[in-house]
Amino acid sequence: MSDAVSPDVPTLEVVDLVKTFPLSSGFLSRVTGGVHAVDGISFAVGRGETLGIVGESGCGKSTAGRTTLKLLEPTSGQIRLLGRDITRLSRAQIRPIRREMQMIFQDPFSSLNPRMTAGQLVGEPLGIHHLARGAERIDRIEALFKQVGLRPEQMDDQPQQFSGGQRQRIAIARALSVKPSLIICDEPVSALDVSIQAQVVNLMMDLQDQYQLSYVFIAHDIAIVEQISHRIAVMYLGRIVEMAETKTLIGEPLHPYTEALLAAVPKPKPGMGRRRKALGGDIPSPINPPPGCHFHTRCPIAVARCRVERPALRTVASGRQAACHLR
Amino acid sequence: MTLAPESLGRSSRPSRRQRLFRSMLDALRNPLLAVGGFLVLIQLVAVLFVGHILPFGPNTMDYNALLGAPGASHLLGTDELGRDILSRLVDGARLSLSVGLGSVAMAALIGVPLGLVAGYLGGAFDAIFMRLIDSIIALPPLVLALTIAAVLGTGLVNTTIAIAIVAIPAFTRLVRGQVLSLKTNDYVLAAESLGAPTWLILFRHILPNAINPVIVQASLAIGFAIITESSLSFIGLGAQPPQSTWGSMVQVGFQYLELQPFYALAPATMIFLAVLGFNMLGEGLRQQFDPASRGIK
Amino acid sequence: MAEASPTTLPENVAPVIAVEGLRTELALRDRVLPAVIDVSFALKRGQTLGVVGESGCGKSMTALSIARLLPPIARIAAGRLLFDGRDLVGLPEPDMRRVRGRDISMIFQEPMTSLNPVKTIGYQIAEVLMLHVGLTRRQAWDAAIEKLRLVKIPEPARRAGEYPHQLSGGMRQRVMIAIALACNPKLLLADEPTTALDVTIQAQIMELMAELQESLGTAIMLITHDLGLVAENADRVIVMYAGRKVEEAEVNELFAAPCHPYTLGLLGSIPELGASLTRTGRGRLSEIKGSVPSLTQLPPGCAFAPRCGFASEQCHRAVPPLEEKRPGHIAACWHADRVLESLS
Repeated sequence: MSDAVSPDVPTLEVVDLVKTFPLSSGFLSRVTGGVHAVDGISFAVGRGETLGIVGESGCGKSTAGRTTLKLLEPTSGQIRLLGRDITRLSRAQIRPIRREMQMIFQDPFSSLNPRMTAGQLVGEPLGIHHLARGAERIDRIEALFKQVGLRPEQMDDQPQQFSGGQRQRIAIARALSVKPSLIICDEPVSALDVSIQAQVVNLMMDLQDQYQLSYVFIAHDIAIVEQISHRIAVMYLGRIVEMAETKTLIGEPLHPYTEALLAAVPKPKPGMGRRRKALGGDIPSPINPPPGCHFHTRCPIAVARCRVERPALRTVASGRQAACHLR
Repeated sequence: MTLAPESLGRSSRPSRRQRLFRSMLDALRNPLLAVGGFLVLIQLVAVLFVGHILPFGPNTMDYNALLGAPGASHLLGTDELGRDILSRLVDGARLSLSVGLGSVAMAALIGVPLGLVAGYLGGAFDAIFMRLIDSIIALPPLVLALTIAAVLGTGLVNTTIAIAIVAIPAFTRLVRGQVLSLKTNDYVLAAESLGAPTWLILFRHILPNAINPVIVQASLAIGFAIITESSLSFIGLGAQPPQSTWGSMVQVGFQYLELQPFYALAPATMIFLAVLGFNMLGEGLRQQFDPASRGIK
Repeated sequence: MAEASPTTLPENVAPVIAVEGLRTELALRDRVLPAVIDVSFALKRGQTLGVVGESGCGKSMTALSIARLLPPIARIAAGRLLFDGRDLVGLPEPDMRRVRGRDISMIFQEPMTSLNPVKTIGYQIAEVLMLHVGLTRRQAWDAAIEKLRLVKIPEPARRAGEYPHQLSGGMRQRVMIAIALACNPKLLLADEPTTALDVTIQAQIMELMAELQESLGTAIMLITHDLGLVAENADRVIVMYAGRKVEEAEVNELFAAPCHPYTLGLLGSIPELGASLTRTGRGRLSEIKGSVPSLTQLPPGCAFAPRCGFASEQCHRAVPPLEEKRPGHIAACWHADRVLESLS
């Protein structure tokens, strides 16, 4: 499938994606409204590119990832994988296409079936997609083990016998086994120890360079996202508020929320950032988001217009978008 | 690539066989498991081997020794037709265990897949089906088994079916509950994201992780099945002469309690030990499977 | 034993807590594992001590030992915990209970599980005050509202009547701080207090803790895996690895001149915000190879040796002693000089 695609077609294109969860209440579970977990986001990821999606809890970044993979049914919008519209495909229709898009989860302790061996876990996708069997499958699994830095002798061990970092390597090998075009990584290193995070991020970058993989790298830690991403999208309460090349976004953020997010990261340099001004207020509930610009309740520069009118995500410069009335 | 495996110096890891052996040793330290397992084991040994080495068949009649007292030739004495009570006891064990194991196997084979499907699919099927299951559970099990057995008619096969029907809801509920909690695990979502078909998710990713409580439940259910079968046989619904199970032996032996006490007391004791054994085994397995009672590794 | 590991305490002020040669063990069915090995440090009034390390390094066990809140399988095997000159080890449980909550309090990572879900937050703060300060119900309730105002919860009088689930994660952690500081404790043990919170909320909470510390003079033991948090909030830092203290120094000193290869590796493996601005393309993070050793498989010599780029034959054989490598800066490494050299 991937061979037939011309190089200028992005691996993934998401247009105006909306995911609403019904809100039910009361005695007979009547649907009384909806939570706009993802509220009309658009982005594209090219071949060999990493798009980082960063934001705090409730911003919809995980839902965005899962909806893009059609693990959740999109409410509206369009998802195009390698140029093909997959938005309305049924569960059965999408199964063969899943080979092209894989996922890596946050918690390597719950994302691997404890009843299977590491080798079975890595080989499972090969079986599902009928790619290799018997001795050939074993060879492939061995090669994958080596590639992600595991020893092939560990194939018969169960996930519980591995450390968190090694488990995440198993998950990576598993995703890699079917040679996908796209891997969506949902907080892949946030459950790992600091010294292990670096190993996993480096591994992911190496594999990307080797196979021209496209990543959507979802995380709350903007420093990690900066490390691995070519471009970054910042989400707040279901919407993308800013999207730009990594350097531009980190160096000259436009949206006040991006600024706040950058300022809030503790810097490992003593005496530099202490007594910085923390952003006030709480993250509003996505069930009942503020009108207008969602960020106006915490924004230091908000004006009257921000409280009523939703700012559109405008293209400010080439490859650079921001959703703010004032910038 | 310069990737360092994380596990330097971790080479002395036990193999799978060693681990299995270790966990079996570990299990023997649990008194419930050890005693329960022993009780169940001797029954199985009795059924499989002892029957062949006993001098009398279960239906061999000795008219010279009617209701004979225990002695050298008949260890537990004879019954009203001169049949060796020990032989009949061992034969009864075969039938009682067959009914117990058979009915529970039948119940699990039907109940577990139903629970899997109900839990995984959810929705209207789950809602309606589970209310049906609830209504079965609401009836007293013995009364229900009695009613079904009466409708189906006498005989061990019908008894087995009756007990199985009564035992299904427990399996269904148990598995459904397991599925509801297991299906929120990321590895189920991960399997979905790999493109795994539903049956594969159910049978490879959910069922193996739900199986431990099912084994516990099965062990407890065998105890229940044996006692239910005995009750049904006692009131004449189960085994028909010349077949005899422990329950029917107790029923007949009851009439000769003063002349030949072992006739009723021996099978009654066997029922007690069998049920105790399976219940202890089940409880022991529950403790063994429950990580909270094992301490940290 | 206490003399075995020196601790550097500037000036001659009596510390709030002095931990001397603490050893905490986990008793398993078939063996005993050391979770904290010969750890010593002291902490003064108004000071913040950062305790850094990865999972399983013993940092939480150290805090739980001080509060004497160890899980049933763990016990303090050796050492002294001098709190206000009194040894907490061996203090009868009723006395310890009076110390806990009043003089020493704790905040944990997950505020939701530390709060009682069926009691209002006002009641939960008031309860502490009634128990330890002896206020009446009415007084305690008013004081509780005052405490909520102190931790900057908006509309404290109304919020006091709410239940934990009605609050956001950040608000709940504020309530936990209000409870922890209700009796003006001398020592606050904060175990990953902001790890479960969003980064903008984390900044608020740390700011709040710093303000309260200034006004109350509380000594804080800040346990975290986040070196950034330590850099911004701690005065002194302890680095722990596999149950041992491997390095201790004043915060600027530690970050400027790490003497232990593990500290050096940790500092290198944190992605630095803004790193992309000064290079072309993506850079690799420097990584520490291998993984944190399990307590069951500690190597005989230095626990870090199998992962260490500086390790020599000696390191695999003998545990390096804690020594003063630079003024006021102690570390346990046979090759600290080479580590320092590598910096320049």
